[in-house]
Amino acid sequence: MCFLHDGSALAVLTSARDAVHAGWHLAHHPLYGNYRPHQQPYRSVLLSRDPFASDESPSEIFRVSPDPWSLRLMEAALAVYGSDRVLDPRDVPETLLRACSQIDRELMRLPIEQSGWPVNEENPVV
Amino acid sequence: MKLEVHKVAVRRLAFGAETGIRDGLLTIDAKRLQSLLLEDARLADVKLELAHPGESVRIMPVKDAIEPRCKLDGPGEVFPGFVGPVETVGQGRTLALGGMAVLTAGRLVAAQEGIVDMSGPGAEYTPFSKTCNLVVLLTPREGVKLHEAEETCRLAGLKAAHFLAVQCKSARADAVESYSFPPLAQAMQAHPDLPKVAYVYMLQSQGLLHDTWVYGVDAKRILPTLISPTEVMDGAIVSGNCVSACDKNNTYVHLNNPIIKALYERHGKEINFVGVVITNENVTLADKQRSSSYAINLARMLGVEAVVISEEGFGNPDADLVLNCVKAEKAGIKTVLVTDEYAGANGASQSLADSCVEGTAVVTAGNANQTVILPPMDRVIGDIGQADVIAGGFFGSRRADGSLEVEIQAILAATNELGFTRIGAYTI
Repeated sequence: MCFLHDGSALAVLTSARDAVHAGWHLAHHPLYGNYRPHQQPYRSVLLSRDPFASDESPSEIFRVSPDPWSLRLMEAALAVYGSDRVLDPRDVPETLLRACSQIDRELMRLPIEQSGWPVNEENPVV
Repeated sequence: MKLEVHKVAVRRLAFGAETGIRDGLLTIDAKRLQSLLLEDARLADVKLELAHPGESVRIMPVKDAIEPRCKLDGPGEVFPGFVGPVETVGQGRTLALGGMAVLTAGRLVAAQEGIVDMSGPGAEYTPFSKTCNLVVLLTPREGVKLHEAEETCRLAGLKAAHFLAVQCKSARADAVESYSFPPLAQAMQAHPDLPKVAYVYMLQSQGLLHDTWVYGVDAKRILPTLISPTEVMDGAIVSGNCVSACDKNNTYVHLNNPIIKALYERHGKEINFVGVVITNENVTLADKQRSSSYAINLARMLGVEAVVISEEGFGNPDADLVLNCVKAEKAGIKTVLVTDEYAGANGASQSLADSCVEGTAVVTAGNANQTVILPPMDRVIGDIGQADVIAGGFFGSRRADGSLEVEIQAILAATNELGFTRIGAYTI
Protein backbone atom coordinates (compact mmCIF):
# COMPACT_ATOMS: atom_id res chain seq x y z
CA MET A 1 0.00 0.00 0.00
CA CYS A 2 1.19 3.49 -0.73
CA PHE A 3 -0.24 6.61 0.90
CA LEU A 4 0.44 9.99 -0.68
CA HIS A 5 -0.08 13.06 1.47
CA ASP A 6 -0.82 16.40 -0.13
CA GLY A 7 0.63 18.22 2.82
CA SER A 8 3.81 18.56 4.78
CA ALA A 9 6.24 15.94 6.04
CA LEU A 10 4.52 16.24 9.41
CA ALA A 11 1.34 14.73 7.92
CA VAL A 12 3.40 11.82 6.60
CA LEU A 13 5.00 11.19 9.97
CA THR A 14 1.69 11.44 11.82
CA SER A 15 0.17 8.93 9.45
CA ALA A 16 3.19 6.63 9.86
CA ARG A 17 2.92 6.89 13.66
CA ASP A 18 -0.73 5.80 13.41
CA ALA A 19 0.34 2.87 11.24
CA VAL A 20 2.90 1.84 13.86
CA HIS A 21 0.11 1.79 16.45
CA ALA A 22 -1.77 -0.49 14.06
CA GLY A 23 1.10 -2.99 14.04
CA TRP A 24 3.28 -1.74 11.19
CA HIS A 25 7.07 -1.70 11.65
CA LEU A 26 9.45 1.01 10.49
CA ALA A 27 11.93 -0.22 7.89
CA HIS A 28 14.19 2.77 8.50
CA HIS A 29 14.66 5.73 10.78
CA PRO A 30 11.88 8.30 10.26
CA LEU A 31 14.23 11.31 10.40
CA TYR A 32 16.69 12.28 7.74
CA GLY A 33 20.34 12.46 8.62
CA ASN A 34 21.52 16.08 8.41
CA TYR A 35 18.22 17.69 7.32
CA ARG A 36 15.91 19.48 9.67
CA PRO A 37 12.15 19.97 9.19
CA HIS A 38 12.57 23.43 7.68
CA GLN A 39 15.25 22.24 5.25
CA GLN A 40 13.44 19.43 3.40
CA PRO A 41 9.74 19.62 2.46
CA TYR A 42 9.46 15.93 1.64
CA ARG A 43 9.50 12.82 3.79
CA SER A 44 8.88 9.27 2.71
CA VAL A 45 8.42 6.46 5.22
CA LEU A 46 8.53 2.76 4.45
CA LEU A 47 6.76 0.39 6.85
CA SER A 48 6.28 -3.34 6.81
CA ARG A 49 3.83 -5.66 8.51
CA ASP A 50 3.79 -9.33 9.28
CA PRO A 51 1.28 -10.77 6.77
CA PHE A 52 -0.03 -13.17 9.43
CA ALA A 53 -0.63 -10.45 12.04
CA SER A 54 -4.24 -9.90 12.97
CA ASP A 55 -6.23 -8.23 15.75
CA GLU A 56 -8.38 -11.37 16.00
CA SER A 57 -5.58 -13.94 16.01
CA PRO A 58 -6.01 -16.44 18.85
CA SER A 59 -2.23 -16.77 19.00
CA GLU A 60 -0.41 -14.08 20.89
CA ILE A 61 2.50 -14.42 18.48
CA PHE A 62 0.38 -13.20 15.57
CA ARG A 63 -1.68 -10.65 17.45
CA VAL A 64 -1.09 -7.07 16.37
CA SER A 65 0.94 -5.01 18.79
CA PRO A 66 2.96 -1.84 18.23
CA ASP A 67 6.68 -2.40 17.80
CA PRO A 68 8.25 -0.51 20.76
CA TRP A 69 11.36 0.65 18.91
CA SER A 70 9.36 1.88 15.90
CA LEU A 71 7.02 3.71 18.23
CA ARG A 72 9.85 5.30 20.18
CA LEU A 73 11.56 6.52 17.02
CA MET A 74 8.28 7.85 15.61
CA GLU A 75 7.49 9.79 18.76
CA ALA A 76 11.03 11.20 18.86
CA ALA A 77 10.74 12.24 15.20
CA LEU A 78 7.41 13.94 15.83
CA ALA A 79 8.98 15.77 18.77
CA VAL A 80 11.70 17.09 16.44
CA TYR A 81 9.07 18.22 13.92
CA GLY A 82 7.11 19.79 16.75
CA SER A 83 10.08 21.91 17.81
CA ASP A 84 10.97 23.31 14.38
CA ARG A 85 9.28 25.13 11.52
CA VAL A 86 7.96 22.56 9.07
CA LEU A 87 8.47 23.34 5.40
CA ASP A 88 5.31 22.89 3.35
CA PRO A 89 6.02 21.82 -0.26
CA ARG A 90 3.50 24.37 -1.51
CA ASP A 91 5.71 27.17 -0.15
CA VAL A 92 8.87 26.00 -1.90
CA PRO A 93 10.07 27.17 -5.36
CA GLU A 94 9.79 24.57 -8.12
CA THR A 95 13.56 24.31 -8.71
CA LEU A 96 14.19 23.59 -5.05
CA LEU A 97 11.34 21.09 -4.92
CA ARG A 98 12.88 19.06 -7.73
CA ALA A 99 16.23 18.91 -5.93
CA CYS A 100 14.56 17.98 -2.64
CA SER A 101 12.53 15.21 -4.24
CA GLN A 102 15.72 13.78 -5.77
CA ILE A 103 17.41 13.77 -2.38
CA ASP A 104 14.37 12.17 -0.73
CA ARG A 105 14.45 9.41 -3.31
CA GLU A 106 18.20 8.87 -2.89
CA LEU A 107 17.90 8.65 0.90
CA MET A 108 15.10 6.10 0.47
CA ARG A 109 17.07 4.06 -2.03
CA LEU A 110 18.61 1.64 0.45
CA PRO A 111 15.41 0.83 2.40
CA ILE A 112 13.50 0.31 -0.84
CA GLU A 113 16.18 -1.87 -2.39
CA GLN A 114 16.62 -3.87 0.82
CA SER A 115 12.88 -4.51 0.76
CA GLY A 116 13.30 -6.11 -2.66
CA TRP A 117 11.91 -3.37 -4.86
CA PRO A 118 13.71 -1.51 -7.64
CA VAL A 119 14.19 2.24 -7.46
CA ASN A 120 12.94 4.04 -10.54
CA GLU A 121 15.88 5.63 -12.39
CA GLU A 122 14.81 8.95 -13.78
CA ASN A 123 18.39 10.02 -14.41
CA PRO A 124 18.38 13.13 -12.24
CA VAL A 125 20.73 15.67 -13.72
CA VAL A 126 22.50 18.74 -12.48
CA MET B 1 52.82 0.22 11.08
CA LYS B 2 54.92 3.37 11.26
CA LEU B 3 54.11 6.61 9.50
CA GLU B 4 56.02 9.87 9.39
CA VAL B 5 54.03 12.93 8.35
CA HIS B 6 56.42 15.52 6.94
CA LYS B 7 54.71 18.87 7.37
CA VAL B 8 55.73 21.69 5.08
CA ALA B 9 54.36 25.01 6.32
CA VAL B 10 52.45 27.09 3.77
CA ARG B 11 52.07 30.74 4.74
CA ARG B 12 50.98 32.31 1.44
CA LEU B 13 49.52 31.25 -1.92
CA ALA B 14 50.08 32.86 -5.32
CA PHE B 15 49.50 31.93 -8.94
CA GLY B 16 52.63 31.64 -11.08
CA ALA B 17 54.36 29.91 -13.95
CA GLU B 18 55.30 26.80 -12.00
CA THR B 19 53.96 24.98 -8.97
CA GLY B 20 56.37 24.82 -6.04
CA ILE B 21 57.07 26.12 -2.55
CA ARG B 22 59.77 28.49 -1.38
CA ASP B 23 60.02 30.22 2.01
CA GLY B 24 56.41 29.37 2.81
CA LEU B 25 55.06 30.76 -0.47
CA LEU B 26 53.26 28.13 -2.52
CA THR B 27 53.10 29.15 -6.16
CA ILE B 28 50.44 27.41 -8.23
CA ASP B 29 50.47 26.92 -11.99
CA ALA B 30 46.74 27.50 -12.42
CA LYS B 31 46.60 26.54 -16.09
CA ARG B 32 48.26 23.19 -15.50
CA LEU B 33 46.00 22.40 -12.58
CA GLN B 34 42.88 23.43 -14.50
CA SER B 35 43.95 21.22 -17.42
CA LEU B 36 44.47 18.29 -15.08
CA LEU B 37 41.01 18.67 -13.57
CA LEU B 38 39.32 19.23 -16.93
CA GLU B 39 40.59 15.84 -18.08
CA ASP B 40 37.36 14.72 -16.45
CA ALA B 41 34.95 15.23 -19.34
CA ARG B 42 32.04 15.58 -16.93
CA LEU B 43 33.29 19.02 -15.88
CA ALA B 44 32.32 22.04 -17.98
CA ASP B 45 34.41 24.58 -16.11
CA VAL B 46 37.02 24.87 -13.37
CA LYS B 47 37.93 28.21 -11.81
CA LEU B 48 40.65 28.71 -9.21
CA GLU B 49 40.67 31.46 -6.58
CA LEU B 50 42.84 32.21 -3.56
CA ALA B 51 41.75 33.32 -0.10
CA HIS B 52 43.95 34.20 2.87
CA PRO B 53 43.26 34.65 6.59
CA GLY B 54 42.03 38.13 7.46
CA GLU B 55 40.81 39.02 3.97
CA SER B 56 37.28 40.32 3.43
CA VAL B 57 36.26 37.19 1.55
CA ARG B 58 33.27 34.87 1.77
CA ILE B 59 33.45 31.41 0.17
CA MET B 60 30.25 29.48 -0.48
CA PRO B 61 28.90 26.90 -1.00
CA VAL B 62 31.90 24.87 0.12
CA LYS B 63 31.67 21.14 -0.54
CA ASP B 64 34.87 19.53 0.75
CA ALA B 65 38.14 20.66 2.33
CA ILE B 66 41.30 18.69 1.70
CA GLU B 67 44.84 19.05 3.01
CA PRO B 68 47.35 18.49 0.19
CA ARG B 69 49.22 15.23 0.81
CA CYS B 70 51.21 12.67 -1.14
CA LYS B 71 53.40 9.68 -0.33
CA LEU B 72 57.15 10.24 -0.23
CA ASP B 73 57.69 6.53 0.22
CA GLY B 74 55.86 3.53 1.54
CA PRO B 75 53.19 1.33 -0.02
CA GLY B 76 50.45 2.88 -2.12
CA GLU B 77 49.46 6.50 -2.52
CA VAL B 78 47.22 8.83 -0.52
CA PHE B 79 43.44 8.68 -1.07
CA PRO B 80 43.57 4.99 -2.07
CA GLY B 81 40.79 3.95 -4.40
CA PHE B 82 40.62 7.46 -5.84
CA VAL B 83 44.06 8.99 -6.43
CA GLY B 84 46.10 5.95 -5.48
CA PRO B 85 45.58 2.24 -6.12
CA VAL B 86 43.65 0.21 -3.56
CA GLU B 87 46.87 -0.61 -1.70
CA THR B 88 46.87 -0.49 2.09
CA VAL B 89 48.37 2.85 3.20
CA GLY B 90 49.56 4.19 6.55
CA GLN B 91 53.25 3.28 6.41
CA GLY B 92 56.42 5.06 5.32
CA ARG B 93 56.59 8.81 4.82
CA THR B 94 53.85 11.21 3.75
CA LEU B 95 54.27 14.84 2.80
CA ALA B 96 51.58 17.28 3.95
CA LEU B 97 51.24 20.95 3.06
CA GLY B 98 50.23 22.35 6.43
CA GLY B 99 48.53 25.70 6.88
CA MET B 100 46.54 25.43 3.68
CA ALA B 101 43.47 23.72 2.30
CA VAL B 102 41.90 22.97 -1.03
CA LEU B 103 38.24 23.95 -0.81
CA THR B 104 35.91 22.61 -3.49
CA ALA B 105 32.89 24.76 -4.17
CA GLY B 106 29.99 24.74 -6.58
CA ARG B 107 26.34 23.94 -6.74
CA LEU B 108 25.12 20.36 -7.05
CA VAL B 109 21.62 20.56 -5.63
CA ALA B 110 19.90 22.89 -3.24
CA ALA B 111 20.28 22.98 0.54
CA GLN B 112 23.80 21.74 0.99
CA GLU B 113 27.36 22.75 1.69
CA GLY B 114 28.68 25.65 3.72
CA ILE B 115 30.17 29.05 4.31
CA VAL B 116 33.77 30.02 5.05
CA ASP B 117 34.36 33.68 5.97
CA MET B 118 38.03 34.67 6.07
CA SER B 119 37.40 37.55 8.48
CA GLY B 120 34.65 38.95 10.71
CA PRO B 121 32.42 37.10 13.18
CA GLY B 122 31.90 34.08 10.89
CA ALA B 123 35.65 33.50 10.76
CA GLU B 124 35.66 32.81 14.48
CA TYR B 125 33.56 29.70 13.93
CA THR B 126 35.50 27.98 11.17
CA PRO B 127 39.07 26.63 11.35
CA PHE B 128 39.28 27.19 7.60
CA SER B 129 39.45 30.96 8.12
CA LYS B 130 42.97 30.34 9.40
CA THR B 131 44.23 28.31 6.46
CA CYS B 132 45.43 29.70 3.14
CA ASN B 133 42.78 28.39 0.77
CA LEU B 134 42.86 27.38 -2.86
CA VAL B 135 39.21 27.43 -3.87
CA VAL B 136 38.33 25.13 -6.76
CA LEU B 137 35.03 26.25 -8.28
CA LEU B 138 33.49 23.40 -10.19
CA THR B 139 30.73 23.39 -12.78
CA PRO B 140 29.61 19.97 -14.01
CA ARG B 141 28.40 19.72 -17.61
CA GLU B 142 24.71 20.13 -18.22
CA GLY B 143 22.99 16.78 -18.30
CA VAL B 144 25.51 15.01 -16.07
CA LYS B 145 23.71 12.73 -13.62
CA LEU B 146 23.66 13.86 -10.03
CA HIS B 147 25.68 10.88 -8.77
CA GLU B 148 28.35 11.53 -11.35
CA ALA B 149 28.43 15.25 -10.60
CA GLU B 150 29.04 14.51 -6.92
CA GLU B 151 31.77 12.04 -7.80
CA THR B 152 33.36 14.50 -10.21
CA CYS B 153 33.55 17.24 -7.61
CA ARG B 154 34.87 14.83 -4.97
CA LEU B 155 37.61 13.55 -7.29
CA ALA B 156 38.58 17.05 -8.43
CA GLY B 157 39.33 18.11 -4.87
CA LEU B 158 41.43 15.03 -4.19
CA LYS B 159 43.31 15.37 -7.46
CA ALA B 160 44.04 19.07 -6.87
CA ALA B 161 45.31 18.40 -3.35
CA HIS B 162 47.49 15.52 -4.50
CA PHE B 163 48.85 17.56 -7.44
CA LEU B 164 49.99 20.39 -5.15
CA ALA B 165 51.72 18.02 -2.72
CA VAL B 166 53.50 16.10 -5.47
CA GLN B 167 54.92 19.34 -6.88
CA CYS B 168 56.47 20.05 -3.46
CA LYS B 169 58.03 16.63 -2.86
CA SER B 170 61.54 18.04 -2.73
CA ALA B 171 60.65 20.64 -0.09
CA ARG B 172 62.27 20.34 3.31
CA ALA B 173 59.79 19.61 6.08
CA ASP B 174 59.32 22.19 8.82
CA ALA B 175 58.18 19.48 11.23
CA VAL B 176 57.99 15.69 11.24
CA GLU B 177 55.27 13.87 13.18
CA SER B 178 55.83 10.16 13.86
CA TYR B 179 53.04 7.70 14.54
CA SER B 180 53.30 3.99 15.10
CA PHE B 181 50.60 1.38 15.35
CA PRO B 182 51.98 -1.96 16.51
CA PRO B 183 50.53 -5.39 15.75
CA LEU B 184 47.66 -6.24 18.10
CA ALA B 185 49.68 -8.88 19.96
CA GLN B 186 52.19 -6.21 20.97
CA ALA B 187 49.56 -3.56 21.63
CA MET B 188 47.72 -5.83 24.03
CA GLN B 189 50.87 -6.52 26.06
CA ALA B 190 51.95 -2.90 26.20
CA HIS B 191 51.25 -0.69 29.23
CA PRO B 192 49.61 -3.38 31.38
CA ASP B 193 48.81 -0.86 34.11
CA LEU B 194 46.82 1.40 31.82
CA PRO B 195 43.23 0.94 30.63
CA LYS B 196 42.85 -0.27 27.05
CA VAL B 197 40.85 2.23 24.99
CA ALA B 198 39.55 2.06 21.42
CA TYR B 199 37.91 4.65 19.20
CA VAL B 200 34.57 3.94 17.49
CA TYR B 201 34.55 6.25 14.48
CA MET B 202 31.06 6.73 13.02
CA LEU B 203 30.91 7.63 9.32
CA GLN B 204 27.95 9.28 7.63
CA SER B 205 26.55 6.85 5.04
CA GLN B 206 22.91 7.66 4.39
CA GLY B 207 22.94 8.02 0.61
CA LEU B 208 23.83 10.47 -2.12
CA LEU B 209 25.46 13.66 -0.75
CA HIS B 210 25.55 11.98 2.67
CA ASP B 211 28.26 9.39 2.01
CA THR B 212 31.79 8.50 3.10
CA TRP B 213 34.27 6.31 1.27
CA VAL B 214 36.81 3.87 2.71
CA TYR B 215 39.52 2.76 0.28
CA GLY B 216 37.07 3.74 -2.48
CA VAL B 217 34.27 1.62 -1.00
CA ASP B 218 30.94 3.20 -0.11
CA ALA B 219 30.87 3.05 3.70
CA LYS B 220 27.20 2.04 3.75
CA ARG B 221 28.28 -1.29 2.20
CA ILE B 222 30.80 -2.21 4.90
CA LEU B 223 30.55 -4.10 8.13
CA PRO B 224 32.37 -2.24 10.92
CA THR B 225 36.05 -2.99 10.73
CA LEU B 226 39.39 -2.21 12.33
CA ILE B 227 41.59 0.40 10.72
CA SER B 228 44.98 1.74 11.68
CA PRO B 229 44.94 5.43 12.62
CA THR B 230 47.87 5.90 10.27
CA GLU B 231 45.72 4.68 7.37
CA VAL B 232 43.27 7.49 8.19
CA MET B 233 46.15 9.99 8.02
CA ASP B 234 46.94 8.75 4.51
CA GLY B 235 43.42 9.41 3.26
CA ALA B 236 41.86 5.96 3.56
CA ILE B 237 38.66 7.79 4.55
CA VAL B 238 37.31 10.33 2.07
CA SER B 239 34.25 12.52 2.53
CA GLY B 240 31.36 12.53 0.09
CA ASN B 241 29.17 14.27 2.63
CA CYS B 242 27.86 17.58 1.36
CA VAL B 243 25.13 18.31 3.88
CA SER B 244 25.20 20.18 7.16
CA ALA B 245 28.46 22.07 6.95
CA CYS B 246 28.91 22.54 10.69
CA ASP B 247 29.07 18.85 11.61
CA LYS B 248 30.05 16.98 8.49
CA ASN B 249 33.53 15.49 8.59
CA ASN B 250 35.25 16.79 5.48
CA THR B 251 38.34 15.03 4.17
CA TYR B 252 40.72 17.53 5.82
CA VAL B 253 39.17 16.69 9.18
CA HIS B 254 39.50 12.94 8.60
CA LEU B 255 43.20 13.42 7.73
CA ASN B 256 43.74 15.45 10.90
CA ASN B 257 41.24 13.75 13.21
CA PRO B 258 41.71 15.46 16.61
CA ILE B 259 40.32 12.47 18.53
CA ILE B 260 42.97 10.20 17.06
CA LYS B 261 45.64 12.79 17.88
CA ALA B 262 44.36 13.16 21.45
CA LEU B 263 44.34 9.38 21.95
CA TYR B 264 47.94 9.23 20.68
CA GLU B 265 48.96 12.02 23.06
CA ARG B 266 47.54 10.10 26.04
CA HIS B 267 48.84 6.72 24.85
CA GLY B 268 51.32 5.21 27.30
CA LYS B 269 50.56 7.93 29.86
CA GLU B 270 46.88 7.67 30.77
CA ILE B 271 45.61 4.97 28.41
CA ASN B 272 46.67 2.17 26.11
CA PHE B 273 45.20 3.20 22.74
CA VAL B 274 44.74 -0.13 20.99
CA GLY B 275 42.63 0.50 17.94
CA VAL B 276 40.11 2.29 15.76
CA VAL B 277 36.82 0.72 14.71
CA ILE B 278 35.06 2.42 11.81
CA THR B 279 31.32 1.98 11.54
CA ASN B 280 28.57 3.48 9.42
CA GLU B 281 25.34 5.43 9.93
CA ASN B 282 22.86 3.78 7.61
CA VAL B 283 19.17 4.53 7.24
CA THR B 284 17.53 1.14 7.75
CA LEU B 285 16.87 -0.10 11.25
CA ALA B 286 18.29 -3.52 10.34
CA ASP B 287 21.58 -1.90 9.27
CA LYS B 288 21.67 0.19 12.44
CA GLN B 289 21.26 -2.93 14.57
CA ARG B 290 23.83 -4.89 12.58
CA SER B 291 26.49 -2.18 12.53
CA SER B 292 26.16 -1.18 16.18
CA SER B 293 26.25 -4.82 17.29
CA TYR B 294 29.29 -5.55 15.17
CA ALA B 295 31.21 -2.39 16.08
CA ILE B 296 30.83 -3.19 19.76
CA ASN B 297 31.62 -6.83 19.07
CA LEU B 298 34.98 -5.69 17.68
CA ALA B 299 35.56 -3.55 20.78
CA ARG B 300 34.83 -6.61 22.93
CA MET B 301 37.23 -8.73 20.87
CA LEU B 302 39.90 -6.09 21.54
CA GLY B 303 39.16 -6.43 25.24
CA VAL B 304 38.97 -2.70 25.80
CA GLU B 305 37.71 -1.11 28.98
CA ALA B 306 36.49 2.06 27.31
CA VAL B 307 35.63 3.50 23.92
CA VAL B 308 35.38 7.03 22.58
CA ILE B 309 32.49 7.22 20.10
CA SER B 310 32.19 10.12 17.66
CA GLU B 311 29.06 10.89 15.63
CA GLU B 312 28.83 12.54 12.22
CA GLY B 313 25.78 14.67 11.52
CA PHE B 314 22.54 14.70 13.44
CA GLY B 315 18.94 13.49 13.47
CA ASN B 316 18.84 9.96 12.15
CA PRO B 317 22.50 9.22 13.23
CA ASP B 318 21.60 10.08 16.83
CA ALA B 319 19.99 6.63 16.93
CA ASP B 320 23.28 4.99 15.88
CA LEU B 321 25.14 6.92 18.58
CA VAL B 322 22.67 5.73 21.20
CA LEU B 323 22.77 2.11 19.98
CA ASN B 324 26.57 2.11 20.09
CA CYS B 325 26.53 3.59 23.59
CA VAL B 326 23.92 1.21 25.03
CA LYS B 327 25.51 -1.91 23.54
CA ALA B 328 28.99 -0.94 24.73
CA GLU B 329 27.85 -0.12 28.26
CA LYS B 330 25.87 -3.36 28.45
CA ALA B 331 29.04 -5.18 27.41
CA GLY B 332 30.85 -3.56 30.34
CA ILE B 333 32.71 -1.05 28.18
CA LYS B 334 32.64 2.54 29.39
CA THR B 335 31.79 5.16 26.79
CA VAL B 336 32.55 8.77 26.03
CA LEU B 337 30.31 10.21 23.30
CA VAL B 338 31.21 13.16 21.08
CA THR B 339 28.31 14.90 19.36
CA ASP B 340 26.80 18.35 18.80
CA GLU B 341 23.40 19.81 19.60
CA TYR B 342 20.30 21.18 17.88
CA ALA B 343 18.82 22.71 20.97
CA GLY B 344 16.99 25.67 19.42
CA ALA B 345 18.18 29.26 19.21
CA ASN B 346 17.93 29.64 22.99
CA GLY B 347 19.51 26.26 23.72
CA ALA B 348 16.50 25.11 25.72
CA SER B 349 15.12 22.38 23.43
CA GLN B 350 16.05 18.72 23.44
CA SER B 351 19.55 18.50 21.96
CA LEU B 352 19.45 15.11 20.25
CA ALA B 353 16.73 13.10 18.54
CA ASP B 354 17.50 10.07 20.71
CA SER B 355 18.90 9.49 24.15
CA CYS B 356 19.75 6.80 26.71
CA VAL B 357 20.44 6.65 30.42
CA GLU B 358 23.73 4.87 29.75
CA GLY B 359 25.13 7.99 28.04
CA THR B 360 26.60 9.68 31.09
CA ALA B 361 29.82 11.06 29.57
CA VAL B 362 29.04 13.27 26.59
CA VAL B 363 31.16 15.95 24.94
CA THR B 364 29.32 18.56 22.88
CA ALA B 365 30.83 20.53 20.05
CA GLY B 366 28.19 23.25 20.36
CA ASN B 367 24.65 24.23 19.47
CA ALA B 368 24.20 24.37 15.68
CA ASN B 369 20.99 26.41 16.06
CA GLN B 370 22.81 29.45 17.37
CA THR B 371 22.29 32.31 14.91
CA VAL B 372 24.92 34.74 13.73
CA ILE B 373 24.90 37.80 11.47
CA LEU B 374 27.61 37.62 8.84
CA PRO B 375 28.37 41.13 7.54
CA PRO B 376 28.94 41.77 3.82
CA MET B 377 32.37 40.91 2.46
CA ASP B 378 34.29 42.75 -0.27
CA ARG B 379 34.61 39.59 -2.34
CA VAL B 380 32.42 36.51 -2.62
CA ILE B 381 33.91 33.37 -4.12
CA GLY B 382 31.11 31.15 -5.34
CA ASP B 383 27.40 31.86 -5.25
CA ILE B 384 25.85 34.14 -2.62
CA GLY B 385 22.43 33.17 -3.99
CA GLN B 386 22.77 29.85 -2.21
CA ALA B 387 22.36 31.56 1.17
CA ASP B 388 18.61 31.14 1.12
CA VAL B 389 18.73 27.39 0.65
CA ILE B 390 21.95 26.46 2.36
CA ALA B 391 21.61 24.14 5.36
CA GLY B 392 21.55 26.49 8.33
CA GLY B 393 20.15 29.28 6.21
CA PHE B 394 16.50 29.85 5.39
CA PHE B 395 14.39 31.91 3.07
CA GLY B 396 15.25 35.48 3.87
CA SER B 397 18.78 34.67 5.06
CA ARG B 398 20.25 37.06 2.55
CA ARG B 399 19.54 40.62 3.59
CA ALA B 400 19.38 43.77 1.47
CA ASP B 401 22.75 45.07 2.68
CA GLY B 402 24.48 41.85 1.62
CA SER B 403 24.76 40.46 5.13
CA LEU B 404 23.53 36.99 6.02
CA GLU B 405 21.57 35.85 9.02
CA VAL B 406 22.25 32.16 9.48
CA GLU B 407 22.48 29.49 12.09
CA ILE B 408 26.05 28.36 12.62
CA GLN B 409 24.99 25.09 10.97
CA ALA B 410 25.82 26.90 7.72
CA ILE B 411 29.46 27.46 8.71
CA LEU B 412 32.03 24.83 7.81
CA ALA B 413 33.16 22.83 10.88
CA ALA B 414 31.48 25.23 13.35
CA THR B 415 30.33 22.30 15.54
CA ASN B 416 32.49 19.53 14.14
CA GLU B 417 31.93 16.36 16.13
CA LEU B 418 35.57 15.30 16.01
CA GLY B 419 36.40 18.51 17.85
CA PHE B 420 37.95 20.17 14.81
CA THR B 421 36.57 23.54 15.84
CA ARG B 422 37.77 27.08 16.48
CA ILE B 423 35.76 27.75 19.62
CA GLY B 424 35.73 25.36 22.54
CA ALA B 425 36.00 24.96 26.26
CA TYR B 426 37.86 22.52 28.41
CA THR B 427 36.78 21.38 31.85
CA ILE B 428 39.75 21.11 34.16
